[in-house]
Amino acid sequence: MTDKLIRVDMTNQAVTVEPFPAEWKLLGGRALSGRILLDECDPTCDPLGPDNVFVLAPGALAGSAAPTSGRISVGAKSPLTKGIKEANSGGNPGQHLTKCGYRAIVVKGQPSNPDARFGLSVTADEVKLVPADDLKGMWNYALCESLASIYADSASFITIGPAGEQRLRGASVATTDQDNRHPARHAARGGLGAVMGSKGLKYVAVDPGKARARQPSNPKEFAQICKKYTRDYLDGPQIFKHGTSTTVKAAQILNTFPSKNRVEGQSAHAETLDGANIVANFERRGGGMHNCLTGCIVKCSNIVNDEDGNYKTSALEFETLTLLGANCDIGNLDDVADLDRLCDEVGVDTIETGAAIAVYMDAGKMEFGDAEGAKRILQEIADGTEVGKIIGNGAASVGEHTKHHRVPVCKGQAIPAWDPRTIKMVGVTYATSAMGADHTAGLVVNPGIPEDQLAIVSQESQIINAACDSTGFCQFVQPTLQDMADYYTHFFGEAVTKEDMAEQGWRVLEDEWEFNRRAGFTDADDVLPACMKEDAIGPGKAVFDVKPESIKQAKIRQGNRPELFAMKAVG
Amino acid sequence: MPKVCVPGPYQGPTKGLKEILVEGRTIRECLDAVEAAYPGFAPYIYDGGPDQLQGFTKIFHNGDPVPAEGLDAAVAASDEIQVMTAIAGG
Repeated sequence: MTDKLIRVDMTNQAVTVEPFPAEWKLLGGRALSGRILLDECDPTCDPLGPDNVFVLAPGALAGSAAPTSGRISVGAKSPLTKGIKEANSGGNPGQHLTKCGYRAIVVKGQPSNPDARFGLSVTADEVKLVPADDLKGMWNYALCESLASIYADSASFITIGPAGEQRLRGASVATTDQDNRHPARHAARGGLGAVMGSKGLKYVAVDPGKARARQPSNPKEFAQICKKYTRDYLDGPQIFKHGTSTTVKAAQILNTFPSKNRVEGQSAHAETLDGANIVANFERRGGGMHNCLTGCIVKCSNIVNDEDGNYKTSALEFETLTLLGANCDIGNLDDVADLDRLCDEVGVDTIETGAAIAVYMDAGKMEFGDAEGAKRILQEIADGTEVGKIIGNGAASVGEHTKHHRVPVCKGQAIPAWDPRTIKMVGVTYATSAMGADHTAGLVVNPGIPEDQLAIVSQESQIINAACDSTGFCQFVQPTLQDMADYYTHFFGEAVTKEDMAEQGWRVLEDEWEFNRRAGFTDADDVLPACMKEDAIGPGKAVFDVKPESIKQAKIRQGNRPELFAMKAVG
Repeated sequence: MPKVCVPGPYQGPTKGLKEILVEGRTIRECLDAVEAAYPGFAPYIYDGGPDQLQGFTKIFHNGDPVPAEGLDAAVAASDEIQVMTAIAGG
């Protein structure tokens, strides 16, 4: 099958399908999205205007038999950071697109009527825009139920909720998971849902029908490495088999379980918010661990049921427990699960929204710990009230409107759970990544890294995660650069070395930094907010005190140390 | 001397040390020896009492998983005790 590229012109509601450029053969996911944006998007454009480019790019191995490799990258200029953005998600649309032969969808323009809504219907034989005005304003779960009644059982969906339609800067892009087609997976960060909304695109439906998996160039060798990799993983410790939510207690010990808008590094609610409680509830409430995409061997996603055994949400992750729970001083697991569901329904990032609500609380607009108030805010975001818009636009927006001094953001994006005061390496990542504060850009949870090593460790982690985000592999399957090179070699039929993969990862970072440079970013933007440098946490009174000259080193290529090739992707 | 391999997240107390040679006749004694030399290590290992491992920590003895009730198994001088942890974002 010849690889293809879908181009969608929303100004004229026209769709074209063209051959996928041969020179992009080895590019997928984040690498492909970044290359398209650098080539085709004016970095100075209005992120919510017609000149922004919205990209959906499955990883290079998506749709193949490689285990846990079907993630899809969503890219655009971010309305939140004003720089380049890539966020990726599990679920099945990435695999379905590539099984149909499509390596990417590039959406440009804007309908003249801002109230018009469209769906993009994709099969192997036909791609067409369809009217979707009747779906306007729908929440994600109801929307996907409605789509499921229209499209075949084999279809998967990429959707936005009301937050995306309102073009709020905290809006996410949802993808449906493999079982029940719940819109529970989100390319959440950076307000990419607002960009999709600005294009008038309410959903993308991808129906692969009976299309089979993408076939590798070297079938025998590819099958062998898939089998070995799967066996090695299943024979190993499977450290993520209970999901990321069980990280809570470790994070508490590490003083990176921030509470009350990050004035403390630990929370009084660590016991109740511990994800081990979710696992313990499976027996009584049902639910359990599952794979969000077909062919995943990690199965780190939890399904959380209510007291009566009814489905409540999926997946309740460590970051969500931290930002919507501890950081808002909300300690009841069911309340946080409700908030997670509401975020998925309305279509907003749980990290950004949790941080925004915490700033709002810290500014005295609401009591810390007010779970019902937080739920009302999510309703207000959906309803488009003034408060809903302020909070739906993210933590920086709340800081701006309340004039509050403590606003934990970097490049306009809320800082995730991993705290740069105790895990200083991740502070270097937050400062230097073109993405802003994003732990998936490069995370090594090690408080013992000496200061003179922080930049190179951050750089290496950013390289391997950029490479991983381009393959379609989930970071939790933890591939090394050698693993990725082996898969590419046998899938694409040309020799790819671990050094080549390192170069691809570095090129991704360079493309992203170049986009931001053209957008007007300078070294002065590579800083953390004052509260991270002044508000001390933990027994060691930790602050982020890494010197600017050390931080800068992360953006200067340091060469290939053996440590780079021993490192595994993780986020 | 047996070697204890310390994962990155737990290297705060060990000041960045990844591998530590210790005196110890059992797995527990080896872990306790790390705590004695680098206070602050034990909370990552034990959950409340000495017989309860933290849910996010896994211990391996020469590559074989060690349950909490197996911590008193004997170790040889050339043995390796690996501490692994499940810590990530999500």
